[in-house]
Amino acid sequence: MMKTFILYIILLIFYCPVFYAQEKADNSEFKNYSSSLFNSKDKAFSIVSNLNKKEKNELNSRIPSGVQIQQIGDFNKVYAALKSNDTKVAIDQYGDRNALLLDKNAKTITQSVIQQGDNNKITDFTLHTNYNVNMEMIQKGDNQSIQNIGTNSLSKNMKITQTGNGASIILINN
Amino acid sequence: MKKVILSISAMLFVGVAAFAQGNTSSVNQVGNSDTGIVNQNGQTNDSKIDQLGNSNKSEVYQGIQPGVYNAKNNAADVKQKGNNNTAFASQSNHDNKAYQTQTGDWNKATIWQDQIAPPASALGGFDKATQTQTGKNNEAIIDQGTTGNEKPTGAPFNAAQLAAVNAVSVPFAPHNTNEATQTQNGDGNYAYATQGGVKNKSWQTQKAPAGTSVADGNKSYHYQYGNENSATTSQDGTKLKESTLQIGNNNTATVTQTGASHSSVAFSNGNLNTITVTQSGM
Repeated sequence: MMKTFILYIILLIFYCPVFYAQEKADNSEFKNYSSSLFNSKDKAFSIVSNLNKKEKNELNSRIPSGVQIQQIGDFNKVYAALKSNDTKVAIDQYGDRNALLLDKNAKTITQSVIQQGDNNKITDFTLHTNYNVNMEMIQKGDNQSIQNIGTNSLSKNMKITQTGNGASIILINN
Repeated sequence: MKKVILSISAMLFVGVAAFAQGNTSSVNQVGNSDTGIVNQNGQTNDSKIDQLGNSNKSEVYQGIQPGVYNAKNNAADVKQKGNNNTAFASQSNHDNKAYQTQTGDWNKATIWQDQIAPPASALGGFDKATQTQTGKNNEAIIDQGTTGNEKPTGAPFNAAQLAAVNAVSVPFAPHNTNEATQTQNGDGNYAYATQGGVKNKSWQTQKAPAGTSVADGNKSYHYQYGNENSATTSQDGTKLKESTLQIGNNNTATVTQTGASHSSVAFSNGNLNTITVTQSGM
């Protein structure tokens, strides 16, 4: 009876989703995600990965302080609302009808966004977080889409790369 | 080029001079060492200078023989109060207007709205420029000309962006209906706007806390070449920097910065691009 009770307790703890999520968060790592989509006409690759320490340092050294926006093409749009103690954001859009919405409130923000092609779209939205956010988003191709909502310990250092046409990623970070 | 023209103009004209009928000029100066120089060529030019205080200086040139007296309907209104203010306006050809109001110490405002050189197609400016400064050490310069417009030559713009602006043909013709309004309240702010093309707009508003040094002042630069581009900047704080460079047609940049030590560089090369930046500290 006692052994069965202990076994139940162990199983309960082990499979508890909340505890499991917290344990993952403490590690600040998540397995890299990648997908590929093929058909006769289009192919697309989506890769979501962590920025390691070297990549974070490289990102911080590459981007100067402030907001740098460059748009070459027609009908491109950037909306950036940023609130932080230290902001380093570089945005490059090459092509036509690309759109970026960046609304972030974080301790520090270091972010690079590159959209190359036509009809690409990124929505990156964080109401408030006390993390130092390091993020890189690259979309090369047409009709790509990234939606990133929220920031947590897993996504504070994140790189998203999409190539090809028609790929889409939605990330919700609670 | 403009400095040469200014020097030549200064040598040729001293005091108030007017050629052709319909020019009006009114200069009121109270205080010490005030200087007012007005030269008007063309038709129906109007100039008012009201200076009160010490060491104020204002020079207005309207229509320095562009196309030989084809300048008309220009108007310049300068009001200065305080110490060591300096205002300068040069307008050539067609319906230009400039208002400079400065209250405070060591302010400086300069407006260029000119088509002094050919092509003749450029001789049709409907420019407006309004500068209002209150505080110390503010400086605002508007250049909406097709001759001698300054281009960005270095940071914060990168080599590719500078190459793009160097490919723009300046004088940029035709040139008319541009508007630039710069309002600065506070200390140590600096604003610069230059526009070539048709129907461009630029508004810059800056504030800084009292006692802000020149080194900690806000700076805002607008460079626009094309048609119907619009740049709006609003800055409130210290050490805020903003630079907008737009090449093409119908581009829009809106930058709002509050707090301290934020910077923004907005570059668009193309048509119908939009940039909106809002920055603040935590």
